[in-house]
Amino acid sequence: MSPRLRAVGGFGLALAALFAIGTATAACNTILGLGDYVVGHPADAGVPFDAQVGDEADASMGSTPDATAPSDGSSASDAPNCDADPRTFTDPSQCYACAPTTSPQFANACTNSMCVPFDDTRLTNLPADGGLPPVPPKDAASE
Amino acid sequence: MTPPVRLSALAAAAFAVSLGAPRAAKAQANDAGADAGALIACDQLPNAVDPDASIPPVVYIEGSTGSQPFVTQLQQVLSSDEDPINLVYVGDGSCVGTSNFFGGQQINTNALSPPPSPTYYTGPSGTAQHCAIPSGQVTDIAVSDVYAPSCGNLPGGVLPPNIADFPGPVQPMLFAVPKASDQLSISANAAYFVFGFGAGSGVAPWTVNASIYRRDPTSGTQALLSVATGIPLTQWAGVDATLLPVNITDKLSGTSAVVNALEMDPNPEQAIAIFSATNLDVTKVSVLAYKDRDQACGYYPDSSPTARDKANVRDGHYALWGPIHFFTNVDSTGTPVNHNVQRILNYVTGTLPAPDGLDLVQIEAVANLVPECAMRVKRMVEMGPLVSFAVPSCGCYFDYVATGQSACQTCAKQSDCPASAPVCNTNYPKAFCETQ
Repeated sequence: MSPRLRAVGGFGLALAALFAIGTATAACNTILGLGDYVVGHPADAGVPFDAQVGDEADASMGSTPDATAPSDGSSASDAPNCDADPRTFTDPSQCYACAPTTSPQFANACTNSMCVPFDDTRLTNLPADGGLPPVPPKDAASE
Repeated sequence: MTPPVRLSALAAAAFAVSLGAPRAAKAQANDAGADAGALIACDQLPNAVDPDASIPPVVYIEGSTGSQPFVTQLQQVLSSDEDPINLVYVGDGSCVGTSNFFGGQQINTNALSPPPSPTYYTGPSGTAQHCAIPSGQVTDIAVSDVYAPSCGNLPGGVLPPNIADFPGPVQPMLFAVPKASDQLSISANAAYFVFGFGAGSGVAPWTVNASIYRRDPTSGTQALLSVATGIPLTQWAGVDATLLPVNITDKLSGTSAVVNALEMDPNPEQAIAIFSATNLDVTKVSVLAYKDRDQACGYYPDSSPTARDKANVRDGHYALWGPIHFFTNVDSTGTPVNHNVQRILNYVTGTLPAPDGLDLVQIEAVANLVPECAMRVKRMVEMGPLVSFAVPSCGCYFDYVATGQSACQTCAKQSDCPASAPVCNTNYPKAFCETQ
């Protein structure tokens, strides 16, 4: 199942997506035991599912998640894909909606916590192949 | 089930003291230059309750300053306990403390600038006092923010069979910016460029080396973040905040120096720093959300920038954490050879309730630490893979003391609890139905 997001058109489909997200959220809470383990804090009251935001500047505003974004990258009308590899998630609104058992699954599990993306296109010295260049000797790193 | 812990006036006092930890740390640093020649020997400290009684046993603990919030409370309580121990603490840094211990070297109180003084307490309301380390004295416990190999000072790279690692509360490590900065998050790769390349990072706005604040290679914070980012421990760019003239003048060391440098930087948008959450003062700095290499989004240690729940540390969304480690000599069964050391380790690892009603869960929560019993994941090596950690047995109580409330059901006995959370944990001043 593709982890990539798909734009969903039409009001009916949007409603279906909202329903699916809500279901996935409930699933996360149940799977993670959050139903009997919810953390309460006045500042967090009403924080929506993940409070995931489209860009860093919006993070503190707590914008709502993209209703068209399936929680595990699957089609909005599908059940959660427990075989999805969270390391392939490229959109911040994607999350792993099943019981996590591996590090990438824990790190990307659906959650009520706020997340803030970081745009790695800001890394102007990152080689095209994505590999990291070796760190220079300490003296060369200073001005 | 261990006996109930009562919330005593002592615990309340400890809570108040812990709130003032940053100020206390500074005061200690200012006292660091005390004349050792005029001090009482640490192995001759009297009984704090009855000066005519025999001299209590002394236990030395050396290393991480991250442990100070709860070590201080234990020092105070144990000094006046009915079975007293004079716990002497030297906060000379994780890698200094472990290096001395692994190498069988004397506790070195002059290893840093300013040098840390050995501290002890005489009762729960006392202030830190200083003593002189006896010649040749090796610490009984080395405390470190990182696993034994991470400092690079462990002979052979693995612990010998006569030394064991007892993990204590979990400590998050942070990337942070001044309050005036607009920056909200950082990725592992961005951190690699910023703290590995300094002025040449290519990651705006963090391109001014003089505004990139770090610790030094003896710091557990820097050691853990080296493993996390891939920057070699000795090749960090930026500036060692403890060497800044303003911090030397004010005798600020370690994390206090980093926070001070960050707060005073004239170009807040370009400033960034690392330190441990134990010393976090949210009125001075802003914590950045962190996106690890296998993540699609960045997370704060807490569920939001203003929360105090450590939710993302506890469930594995926030990657930058590790337990505080207590290293000591053990016998062939893995038991500490010094029974007084074993007693202290039982307290800090949560195996036994701390004496005299000392509520270490509360103290750790206030200090931004997470007791193991509130964690839902664990790891066995530095920044290693996460595995599920059974079910937390004090998660509800941790929420309560960390955030002021918990959604869990309160209880007085087991039969009050639902099947989904069947254990009424009465070990703490307020009992909740926990899942284990």
